[in-house]
Amino acid sequence: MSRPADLVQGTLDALILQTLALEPMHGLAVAQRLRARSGEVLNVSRGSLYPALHKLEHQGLLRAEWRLSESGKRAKYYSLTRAGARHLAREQKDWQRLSSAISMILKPT
Amino acid sequence: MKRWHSRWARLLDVVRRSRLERDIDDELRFHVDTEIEAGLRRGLSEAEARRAAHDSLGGIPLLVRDQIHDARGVSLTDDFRMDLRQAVRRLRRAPGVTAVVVCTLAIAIGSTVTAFSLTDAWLFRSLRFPAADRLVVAFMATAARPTEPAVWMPYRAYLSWKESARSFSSVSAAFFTGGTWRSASDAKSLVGMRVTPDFFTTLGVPALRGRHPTAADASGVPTIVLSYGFWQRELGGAEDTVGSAVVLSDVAYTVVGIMPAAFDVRLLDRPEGAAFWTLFRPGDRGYAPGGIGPVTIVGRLADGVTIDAARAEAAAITRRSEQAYSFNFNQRDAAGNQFIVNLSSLQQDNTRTVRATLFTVLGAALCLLLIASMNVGVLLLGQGLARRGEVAVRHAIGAGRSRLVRQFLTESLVLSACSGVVGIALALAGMQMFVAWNPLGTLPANGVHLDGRAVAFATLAMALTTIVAGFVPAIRLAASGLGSTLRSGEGGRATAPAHRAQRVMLVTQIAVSTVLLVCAALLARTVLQLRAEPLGFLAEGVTVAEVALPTRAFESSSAGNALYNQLEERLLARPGVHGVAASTAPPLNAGAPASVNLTPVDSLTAPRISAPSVTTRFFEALDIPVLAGRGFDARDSAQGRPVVVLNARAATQLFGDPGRAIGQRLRLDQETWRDVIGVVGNVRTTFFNTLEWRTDPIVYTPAAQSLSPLRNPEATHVTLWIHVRADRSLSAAEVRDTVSAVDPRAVALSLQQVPDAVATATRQPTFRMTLLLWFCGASLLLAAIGVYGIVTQAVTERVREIAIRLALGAHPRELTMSFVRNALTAGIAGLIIGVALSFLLARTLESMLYGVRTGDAISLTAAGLLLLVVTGCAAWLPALRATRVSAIHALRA
Repeated sequence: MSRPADLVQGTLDALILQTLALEPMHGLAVAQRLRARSGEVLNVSRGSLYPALHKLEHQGLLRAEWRLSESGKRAKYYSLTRAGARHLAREQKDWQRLSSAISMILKPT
Repeated sequence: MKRWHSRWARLLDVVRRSRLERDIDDELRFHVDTEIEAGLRRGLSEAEARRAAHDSLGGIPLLVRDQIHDARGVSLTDDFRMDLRQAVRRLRRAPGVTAVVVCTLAIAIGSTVTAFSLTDAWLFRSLRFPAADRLVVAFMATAARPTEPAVWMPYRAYLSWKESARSFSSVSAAFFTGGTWRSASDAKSLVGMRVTPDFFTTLGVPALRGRHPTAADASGVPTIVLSYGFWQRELGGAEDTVGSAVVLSDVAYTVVGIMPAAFDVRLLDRPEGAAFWTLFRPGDRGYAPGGIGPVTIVGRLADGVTIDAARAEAAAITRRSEQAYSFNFNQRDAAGNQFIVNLSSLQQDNTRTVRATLFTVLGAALCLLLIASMNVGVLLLGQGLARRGEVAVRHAIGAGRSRLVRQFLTESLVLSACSGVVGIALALAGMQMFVAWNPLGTLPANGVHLDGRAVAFATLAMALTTIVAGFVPAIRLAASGLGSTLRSGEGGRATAPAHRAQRVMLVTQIAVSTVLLVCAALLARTVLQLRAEPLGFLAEGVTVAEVALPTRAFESSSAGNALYNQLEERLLARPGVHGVAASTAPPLNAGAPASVNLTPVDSLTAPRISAPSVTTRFFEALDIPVLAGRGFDARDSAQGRPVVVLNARAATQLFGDPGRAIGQRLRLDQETWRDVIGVVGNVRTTFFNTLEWRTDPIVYTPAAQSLSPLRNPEATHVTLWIHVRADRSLSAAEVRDTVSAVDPRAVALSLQQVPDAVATATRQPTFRMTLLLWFCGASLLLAAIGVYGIVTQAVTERVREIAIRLALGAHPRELTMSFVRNALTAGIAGLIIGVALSFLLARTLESMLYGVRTGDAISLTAAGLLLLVVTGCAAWLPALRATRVSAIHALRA
């Protein structure tokens, strides 16, 4: 969270981790969940979801395994690793600090 | 056809695609397919549904796949795969160079792996006995040569160890014996052992069939245990062998057991295991309590006892027990030697004669490997220098230094791996050749084969070549070629480290070659010396037949002589035969010793001197000169005065001067007085495990007076070595038929040409020399190629400079000489280091030399001159090209 450029990317990572903290799910489900929970405001899947998932897996924050989906097809399910959970907790704290600071400044007095 | 082709291509593609690739595709397809189904359910058309699905994915799957790759980053393994592809491509572009490099390395790796496998089979892999490293063999050595067996242990030492030594969990004694085996068509002499009943339990190997002999078997009907080889070869592996009788040397034995094939016991430098084992019998002279019958003691160390502790205890016990006897081994012998008891592990005992040769071969092969990989290193470095423009550009566009080094390493790894595979194939062939050729005259009991250890060793060798041939050039080039090259253009100062590395490698290569060359020169001088030394008797055109006369049929001296006289007559009648004579000692062997007393009472310190019996015309037939007095003739019959003839060495030892010996008297063992009637020239002999020609004292007795096995009452036969001098070689069948025609009870065993026997005696030094000469030739060739390559490269690089100097009026010869001088400087530096190294190695070499010392000036000079000439020529040829440079052409280019 040091450089401004990391902000958006880092935020997407945090959102993905947060979504997967609930239960393991495949890429499509992550996209749908994000869209639904943000009230259709966030449409993260414009080309960045899958690269982000793979990057997180490569970094060891996610682990992936092939399972049968509810529709009966093979799908790649992602879940949080221990390192991923730690990372998420840190992100949440950072975000809390940052957002409270911003809202303090932006709050109309 | 075309469709088939494209399908094939697709199939290949599927196979080739990595798992990661497949995973990504599957994942994306799941996303798209699920979304399309959802769209269709919502009532969209198929095209619309597909578009929506791609939209939700963020683009068409191919694009997303690339983005995923970008996000994951490129891994080390991907880099490696890329380097690998590139290396293979580059190596294939220069097939000639690649083939030369692979061949060079393959030969080097192949010979190293072969040498390692042989050394491993002999020296490192443990023998096939339970806890084989606890087995030890005892012998008596002299203080001067503590590791070489000098005499056998006395039987009573075995008894005293068995009684009081605590270092062994089990001890046993064994001694060699011979036996004549007759089949329907043939007869052969077999080597067996007489052992104590605890021999088999000490070695810890159960019998394959039947049982081990027990103490009860020592009396009564003689019993025998057969080796697997004997059982298979001579008895056809018959099922009912145990319990049946076999006849050896006309004695019938009952077979009580057959040992398994792996039971291969070799003691005290025997080239192969025994064919049978019988027991010492209570009546045997020398093998009763207090007896000094010769044995070797085989023991198994008790748990936790080191061989040093056992040696100390055994020596102390022997010293104490020997004090009880008036004739004992604590006294010095006639030659003034003090005997010491020594123990060596069974494995060490088995490899005493071949160890030096094996280490020489392994060392030489390793040297060759080092030289070959350096040579390839020099070559790759040269290629790399030519490529430094490319390297610099790649560095400029972002390739890191480590990345460049990795690339070079990959290239040499590919080369090493290819060479390793070819090398292992060569090693397989090499080992088979070795077994077929059997140049040492003996093969390891373990057998020679390519196993996991050899493959591991080959991998090590490959790692070495990779590092030497790739790492050094890579580092040097990466250090030198970057950045500055583009600026300085061709031949800038920036390449100095690479050139320096090349020079260092060249000097090292020449140094190692020098070591090989010096060793080869010394070994060659040894062989020349061994061959050039006059033998003192005629070897050329002499065939020796071994004929055994069983004591039951020929118990008296006259019976043996009668047979010999008939045999001589018949042999002389055969075409081409000029002379026939017999001796009781084999060629190149002085014969069995006897105590020689000059006093009426037996002296305890009487010298033991070889005392063979020879027939009347022995000296004449073998051209042994009579120096004083006369040789044997018809007067020296059984009824005549007992006489002896001495050789010059014996005359000098006994009477101080050959001239004074005639007319003196001496006694052999407990026999009557004999008159010395003549002195003959010395002959060369060998001793079983030392590399030298010996001049032993010999006392010859006339066969007519002493052709009975009086000195060894246990002997089952007398062996006559019939020397036939002819202008053709005799066939074994011819001799066998002649012998059996005279008396079917006599057995013709082996037949050998004396020159062959001489060659066998010098076999190991000859083998070492031959092999080292080959390695030397190879290393010289490699060194020459290295020099040639470097000078060629230097000339090519400095074309412009040469052209300018020529244009300014430099003499062509001076230019050539400057290149040659440069190479010779490296040559001389390598030579000096090499000579220094070979002096360091001198100690290990000393035991393999005869008649030449390690600092031998002739060998050193010859090696040095040869190296300098080769270096000079290899530099001169390419340097000549420098003078043919056309100034205008080069400057305009």
